[in-house]
Amino acid sequence: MRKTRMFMIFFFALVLLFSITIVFAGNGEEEEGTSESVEKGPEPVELVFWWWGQQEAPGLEDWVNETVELFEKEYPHITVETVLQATENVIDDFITASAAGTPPDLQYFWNGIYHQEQVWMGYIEPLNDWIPAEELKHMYASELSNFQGKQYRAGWYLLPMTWIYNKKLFKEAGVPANMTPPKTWDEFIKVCEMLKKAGIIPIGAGFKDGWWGEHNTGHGLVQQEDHVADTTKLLVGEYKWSNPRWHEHWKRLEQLINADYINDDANSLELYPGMELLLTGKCAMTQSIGSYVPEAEKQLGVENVGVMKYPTFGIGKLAEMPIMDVQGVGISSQSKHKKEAAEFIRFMHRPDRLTAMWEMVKIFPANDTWDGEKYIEGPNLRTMWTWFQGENTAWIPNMIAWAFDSEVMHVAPQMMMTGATTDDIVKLAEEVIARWKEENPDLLESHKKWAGVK
Amino acid sequence: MGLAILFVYGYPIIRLFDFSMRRIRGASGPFIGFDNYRFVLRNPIFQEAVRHNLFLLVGVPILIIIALIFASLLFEQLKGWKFYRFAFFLPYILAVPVIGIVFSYLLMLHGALNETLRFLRLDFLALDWIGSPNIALKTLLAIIVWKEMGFGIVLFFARLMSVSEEIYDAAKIDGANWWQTLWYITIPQLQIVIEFFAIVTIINLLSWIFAYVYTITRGGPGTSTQVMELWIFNKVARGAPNPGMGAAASVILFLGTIVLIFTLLRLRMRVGEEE
Amino acid sequence: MKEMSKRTGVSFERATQKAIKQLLLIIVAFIALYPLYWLIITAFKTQADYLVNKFGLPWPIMIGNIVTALRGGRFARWFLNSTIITAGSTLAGTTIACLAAFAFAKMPFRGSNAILNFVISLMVVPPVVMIVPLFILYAQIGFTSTYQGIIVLYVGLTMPFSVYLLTNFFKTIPHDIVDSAMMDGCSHFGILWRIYVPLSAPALVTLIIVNALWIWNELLLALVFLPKDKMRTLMVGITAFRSRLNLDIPVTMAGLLLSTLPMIILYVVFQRFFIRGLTAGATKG
Repeated sequence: MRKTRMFMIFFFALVLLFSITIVFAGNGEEEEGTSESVEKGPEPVELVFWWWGQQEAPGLEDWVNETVELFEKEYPHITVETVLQATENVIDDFITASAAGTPPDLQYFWNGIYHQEQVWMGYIEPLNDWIPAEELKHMYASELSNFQGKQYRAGWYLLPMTWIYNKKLFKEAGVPANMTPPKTWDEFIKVCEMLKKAGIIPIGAGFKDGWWGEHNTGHGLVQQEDHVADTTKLLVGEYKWSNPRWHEHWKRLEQLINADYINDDANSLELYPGMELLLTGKCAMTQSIGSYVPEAEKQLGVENVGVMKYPTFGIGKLAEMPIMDVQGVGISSQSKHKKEAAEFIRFMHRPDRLTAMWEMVKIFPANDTWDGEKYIEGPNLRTMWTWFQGENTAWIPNMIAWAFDSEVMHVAPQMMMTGATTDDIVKLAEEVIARWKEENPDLLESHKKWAGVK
Repeated sequence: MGLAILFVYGYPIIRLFDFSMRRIRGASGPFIGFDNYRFVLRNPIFQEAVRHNLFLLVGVPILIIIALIFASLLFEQLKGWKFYRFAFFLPYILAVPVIGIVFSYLLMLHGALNETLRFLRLDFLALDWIGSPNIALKTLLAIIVWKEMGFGIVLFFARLMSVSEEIYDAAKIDGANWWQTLWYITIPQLQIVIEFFAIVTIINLLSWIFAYVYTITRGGPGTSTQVMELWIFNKVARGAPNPGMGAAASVILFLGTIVLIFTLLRLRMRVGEEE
Repeated sequence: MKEMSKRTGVSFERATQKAIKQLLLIIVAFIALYPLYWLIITAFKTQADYLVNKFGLPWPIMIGNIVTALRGGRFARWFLNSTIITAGSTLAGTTIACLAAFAFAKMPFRGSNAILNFVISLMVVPPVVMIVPLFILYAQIGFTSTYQGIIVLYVGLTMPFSVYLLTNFFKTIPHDIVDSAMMDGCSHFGILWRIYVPLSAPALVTLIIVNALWIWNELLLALVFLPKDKMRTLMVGITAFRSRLNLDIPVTMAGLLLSTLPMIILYVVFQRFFIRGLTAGATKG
């Protein structure tokens, strides 16, 4: 009984404590609100901005806060409320909020299908009407942000999609200089064999969460394409996966897996732990993103890290091109303050803000008027910046319906790791596509319109 | 209470039926009849998910047997029984995400368990516990059993403590051995609790295992650990605007669970009447 | 002589039997405790130590992991969220369940039994099925990413079990007490507050523990209904903690340890209530 009483007292003390905390936390927030809403000049406007980039670009939050602060100083009648959402926030709350009539004014969007579906539902405003064409064309958002001649996102920061390799391990394995890094598929296989003989894992990978499989498609399938719209033709069934040209990238992956060029525990690792094998010097190569390069350089030393393109085996016009993806921001079609929202996007792209983005976060701002040459240091980063300035191609997994991502691309490497063949994957791909088409006739039409495919 | 219940259960269930008949885009969409149900039922991954859920029900007898054995061992109050009770019950209070993450590190191909096995020269036992499609689902089941067994043990044990000792003394005098005591006395005495535990476990294994799958395997490798909850979740997740199919699958899961539970209860009642 | 050997035989047999039982208990106890033990030792390793020494004791002992896990205040924020949500839901849920159970147990009306059975049967509804409709509703009424939004959900979801447990308990309280209190001019609320609540303190404690444990550990609803980064609970936080750029496994383990520590401490201190609480439903019914 004594213990019961003790527990009750303990519990109610806890409850009391937290009620107090809530009251105070609540008060704190209200105070913030009232102090900011002091009226100045024209009709006060409050913009709401939802975003979730902090997770893949640590430090971006500071940049956003600073940008908002400077913006509010310059436009005293506008306040911007930024809300950092969680990436693993699994249901698209922009869609549900839009359907409910309560969307934010500004929203961070991934590329391609991750915002096109919202475009097709009419939830996103074309930027052409709000940002002068001369400026908009430099806010690089890639061709995947366009729909029927309008641009729906302004670029924010770039994601060069790259492979990274460890020069020191290449040397240890005796890889000759002309194959550092390998450029063709034959060279690639030779290098893998040398590394394997030297007791080094050639390629580090983590298949468990599926993203590796998506990356593999992004680096591999694109080499067979003449235009990114070929991806859509595969999706809508105009091209068949059974055509060797369109499943070659899985054949090559199968070859790498069967020759044991990939770590044996890939199925119990996720994408990032797989990449980490490179950082700890366990593997010689890995597929990665540009923003991971500085981390690799920090761990291994700049002189030991190199960036490379996935070695070429493809026959398409895009086979040799570097790949550039880009995260962006758009305006809700229901926003009451589209002009101010556009103003904020333009502010994000002012030269001083672009430079600050690079200096604070070490990510490439998505604007081709920014003078990167002047600020970017180090051979790898400079190389990737030239990819952006020269000819490049989009990240094609962003053109594919999610059902295909999760049911085919994500599981393909996992299945191959345990004995499935390319033929099995092709069969699966055809089935998934057939089902997806029947289940989503409306999306099928929109995909066709998007890619300009009949 | 009425309001809370209506809000949390009533409204969603009604809307659920509505959604399951539409091609949902955003918050609503065109009416398409029973198409979503057809799409769900013919989907091989969903079928696989159902099979996996049913396979996991193997956990029910396993858990009951483990709980019976250890509850009666505890009941003998051997030296240190309080400590054992403490230890058995501990996994039950840990959060699933926590143990999910811990196990996914422990059971990696080069994780602590396999390193230990290799250290003991038992290399042939060092399997790819969560990375191999033949084993992953069984591993998942083992983890669930590991976590839930404490509940069963303590539950049965608590009930045994309220059984009068005379019955056990009588058995001892008659010279019944351990197994006979278990079979003829313990199990009949525990019947109601066993039923309760079985039902709770069935509900858990059908519709409360999301957190395990989400943190340990995410349904993989391939589709080898897909379960209904995860399938539904994936249909409503970002980038997959087909909540209509998710709703149809939800209705199927919901009705399936109810039918199964009520059949069991009916069965129990009939058996009860015959006795 | 013969007699003696038989006796030693029996006692030998009994001793081996006992030894086997002890061994069995020890093995299972070891299996039950090992993951937590491993979590604790790993939380105090350095990353380098972990990579070469996955199952041994930590050396050097690294306290810094906990500091690293706490850095940036995100962890503290998640902790606060979890605490507010757990405390709020438990308190509100228990209060409502008390009132409802009182009505069911002591003021039966026509059809109240049917309603009670219906409420209890709601325990079988899988939470995942309610996500889609509720998420859209929540967006419409601005309830996503709010404390009150998630608290309402948790209160609703724990209600069937709470009502079931408390109604059973209240029914065991003799009616005479109520009658005499009524004579003394006590109101219904007065009876509930002055008689039922004190008398059923153990059941209430139990209920609070069961619900708090469940809510603290819940993942799915917290994941879906609290999309704001600032609003995440510990369970959602740690699930994401691992998959991001944070690849330092000992730091992850330190985070896990911190997030589960409150429940472990409560369990160690109030073991009796935990065990009784979680089994009460069955032994009473």
